[in-house]
Amino acid sequence: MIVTRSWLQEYIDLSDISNKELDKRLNEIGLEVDSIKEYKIPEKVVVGEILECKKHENSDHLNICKVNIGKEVVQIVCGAANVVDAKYVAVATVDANLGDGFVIKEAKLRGEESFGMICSSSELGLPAMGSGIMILDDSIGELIVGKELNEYEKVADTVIEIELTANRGDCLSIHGVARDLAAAFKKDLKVEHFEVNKRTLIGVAKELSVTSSDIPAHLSYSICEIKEFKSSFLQDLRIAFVNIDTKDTIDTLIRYTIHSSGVILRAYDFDKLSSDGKVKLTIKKSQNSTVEVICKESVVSIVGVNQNSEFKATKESKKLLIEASYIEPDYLIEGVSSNKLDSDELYYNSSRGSEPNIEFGLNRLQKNICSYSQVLFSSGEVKIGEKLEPKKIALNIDELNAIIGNNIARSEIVNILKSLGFKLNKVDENSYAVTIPLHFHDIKNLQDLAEEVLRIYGIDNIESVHSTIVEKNRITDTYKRYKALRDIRENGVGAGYYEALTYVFANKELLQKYGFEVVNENKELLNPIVKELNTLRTTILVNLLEAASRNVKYGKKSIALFEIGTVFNSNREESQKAAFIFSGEEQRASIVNSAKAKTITIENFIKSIGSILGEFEIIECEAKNALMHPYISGEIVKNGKSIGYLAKLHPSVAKDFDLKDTFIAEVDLDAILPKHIMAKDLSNFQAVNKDLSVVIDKDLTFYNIAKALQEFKESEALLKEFYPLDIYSDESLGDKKSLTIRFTLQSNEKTLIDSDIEAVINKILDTLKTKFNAELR
Amino acid sequence: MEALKSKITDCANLEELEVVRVEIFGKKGILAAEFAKLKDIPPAEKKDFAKSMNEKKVELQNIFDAKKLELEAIALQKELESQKIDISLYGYENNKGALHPVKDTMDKIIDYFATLNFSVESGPLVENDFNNFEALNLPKNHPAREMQDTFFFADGNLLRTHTSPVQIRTMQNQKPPIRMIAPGAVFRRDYDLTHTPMFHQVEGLLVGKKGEVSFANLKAILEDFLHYMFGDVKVRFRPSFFPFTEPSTEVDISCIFCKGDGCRVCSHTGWLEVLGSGVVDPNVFKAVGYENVSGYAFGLGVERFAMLLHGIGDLRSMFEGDIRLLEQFK
Repeated sequence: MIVTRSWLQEYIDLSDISNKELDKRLNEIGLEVDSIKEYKIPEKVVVGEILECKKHENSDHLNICKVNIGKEVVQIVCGAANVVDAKYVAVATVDANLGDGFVIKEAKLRGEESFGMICSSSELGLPAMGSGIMILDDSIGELIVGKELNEYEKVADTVIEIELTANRGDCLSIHGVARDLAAAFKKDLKVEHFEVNKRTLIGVAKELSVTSSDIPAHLSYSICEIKEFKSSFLQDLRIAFVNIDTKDTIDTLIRYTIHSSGVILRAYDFDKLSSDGKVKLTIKKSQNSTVEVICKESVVSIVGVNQNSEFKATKESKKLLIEASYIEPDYLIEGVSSNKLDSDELYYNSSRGSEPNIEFGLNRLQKNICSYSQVLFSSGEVKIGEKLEPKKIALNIDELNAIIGNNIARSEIVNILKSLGFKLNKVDENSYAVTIPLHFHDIKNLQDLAEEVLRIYGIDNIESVHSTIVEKNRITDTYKRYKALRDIRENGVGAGYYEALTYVFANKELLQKYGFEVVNENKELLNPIVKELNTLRTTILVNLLEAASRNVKYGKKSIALFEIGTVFNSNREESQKAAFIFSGEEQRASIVNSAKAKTITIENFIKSIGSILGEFEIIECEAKNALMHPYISGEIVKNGKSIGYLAKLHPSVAKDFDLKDTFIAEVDLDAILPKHIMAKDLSNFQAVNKDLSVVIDKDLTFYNIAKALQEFKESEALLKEFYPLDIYSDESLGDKKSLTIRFTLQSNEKTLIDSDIEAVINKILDTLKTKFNAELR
Repeated sequence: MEALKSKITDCANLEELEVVRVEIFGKKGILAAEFAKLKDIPPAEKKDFAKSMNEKKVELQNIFDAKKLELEAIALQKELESQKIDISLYGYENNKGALHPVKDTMDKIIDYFATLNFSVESGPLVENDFNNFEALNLPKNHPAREMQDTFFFADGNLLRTHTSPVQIRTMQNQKPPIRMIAPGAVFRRDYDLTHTPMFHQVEGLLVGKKGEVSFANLKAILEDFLHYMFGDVKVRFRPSFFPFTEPSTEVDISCIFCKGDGCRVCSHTGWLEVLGSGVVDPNVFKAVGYENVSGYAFGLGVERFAMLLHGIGDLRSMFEGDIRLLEQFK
């Protein structure tokens, strides 16, 4: 909503309020100021009167004008076509500085002297107003030849753009904003009386008959005959200030009045609607839950929604049927959106609650039309529909204060509500029956009233009060999970990874290309924002690969990223995963490696993942998707459960993303959250390491041996730990390989002697021999 | 004697000292030779001779020990010197990563409210219309729904447009009093310089008995919270509109870049909008079946906080895993 200061001034006296105060107060009462622009007309730009205008002999488009600029009459050459119609104009006199170094000088144009420039609106920094120069009239105040244009407050106006919230339909007009300011500044709204030219002989009912049934709207009609239709300079200027596009003079006057009064107004071509000089309208509810205006079996408009262009008034129209309307927004919105009806620009106002005082709008339009046009109105109006009954709610002062949390004096509350147009009937010392003005269609309960009181009273004046805390354990599972995740994230940072944050959206084609599941069609996203984000992700890794690829483009050689976030399965169920990617250099070329960068290796990648996730085992696995290298990939097993996988990135995928050696991992988050741990007794006796080399089948993976050893360990208290130490194969071993395993033995009761150790080792060897046919090397 | 003393004290290093030790104190050394003379000394003088010899020996030993300590110290110093490196060469090998500024900001926000005994709650990203709109007093066709362009699914569900549905879920599962925040990702169909289709919010809700929770309580906590986050800033409350709160207010802080004088970041207003909040609308309580309660709620955009706190200019860069941005937060 855009307002201008001088326009507001028509409804409320703001002469003692500075723009700064106005800005502050608007914000305080909930009308957020987006911008304030104070227009200044350059000095030495004055009102001029064109005394004579003739064509330039040596030019097709130039005119030579004699212009009275107050202290003298000067000759000015002007190129604008509309100068021939002009009497009063804005003249930039010699030495006027129009900005950007443009200073008016005496000049010769095709041999004719020119002492100044007749200006268009944009040449003076005002918004554009059609083509040609500005033609002034007394709508901006008495025109005094030679007077500085900047002294006309309606021209050098202040334009304020207000960001209105969806509940403030009441402020979608200059009058509405003024009404709110009147309460805020404790001022009265101006009341204006005016007469319009009426054809006293012909009453409107002679030419118009309307039938209607029970409708949630009210309308009012008026008829006018046009001799000459003209808008004033000020109306055109203000329409430009508030940035409304209009098609013709009728449109300008209608939109001007709507913007000013807030009432929905429409004009029809009377002759197109009439048969035998009389218009018959039928107004009724449609099956679409809207209210239609019907004439000659056509819908000529849907109230508050749109108008049939066939019957709309145009500049050729000789006689107008003018309609003012109000319809209940709730009813309207329901009808329009459930039937997906096309609506015009006025629907924005009507759906947020336009001004219900439609007579006010109609009168205003009559006044605005009459001021510069020659028109005759029929006497009276035809009014349709029941006036809405204002709602009433109970106000209890104590309850209202409890909502706000301060004790605002009863008289203050009453005065604020009265100033906003509420009617209060006292029930007892503490309570009132409040009648809500119709323009506040959104106010329905006590909390709504509290908001009205609060915004006018001023939140700045509310004393902050801390709430009391009820002692209660509020450490939820979500919080515990959050804390655990925070540790994992910190671990990731410690291991040299950067935390990434990418969209939970993905490119469906890419997911399918790399062999990931996608969300089922019947649960798919209907309105993706771009093709590249047309589905929900089922893996974080593709996003991280894209991020890595971007980083390569930025010249990064070492890329280590992790993300913890939500992924979906084909059934669109949510789970959380942690994904890791390490690409390129683990160590950049530097002093520590004698200028030789070290590329990340599978061993170091696994080590880094281990330092983040804690202990795990890895089982050889087949590639689960096309990202994984088929022979350098493994399933991550924790506490006997598979929780995810890690792998070298498949070389052809690496090529797709322009990446060097890259490793990836993705794990289920729930599986890595820390478990509760019970400590074991500590041993005070020395541990013994024993390394055993055994010859086994080449294809046997360590995981199988580890499983068997784990089982053995359960029943052997002396065996504390084992892990692979070395692997070796050569031709002499044929299809066998030699595996060295380190065993740590320790007793809680004594220092182990050789025979104790030997006994355990022999049992281990027996197990390995029985299960895997392993021989000591 | 003096000659022996200077033999020891003249030693330049431990090797020379060892030679001298053998020469003086060795089995075939000077002292041993002197003591050997004892057997030729007349018995009457033997005692004195022995005494004087022992005294000399102790004196020499002391000198020797002192010299040894001195030379050992010198030797150690030399060894240490020989190990000298230019340690300043290695100041460039920091291998730490960094947390994402948005997540890190969220952590800070959670810390504040968790310390004030707010519980942390969560909910799914895919929501139904009831939890995301209807229960929050946003009936179908309400113009305020247009404020939030929504992603829909084929089965009628949607991606939550705010974290507010977590309020509804929490109130449906718990009895008052409630004191919670819900941090998480939210989604709106908007993609330009200042909008991304996914961003993060932290939602807060406090519910007590009727008359217990007021607008003044909301004002108190938000003022304190914003001072915790942004330091010494002015806080301004503007009446506003949200369907789920009434009275509603938007909260601004004085621009942290220009201190309120007006600059590009604050669009020359001197103020930065950072929060939306209000007293919970009775229709919201009705939707979850609460009676005789009062409450306040607030919501904030984490990306906006992160951008303001760290002076990050480009919203979209935060979702691209851009290491050029992330490495600044090491």
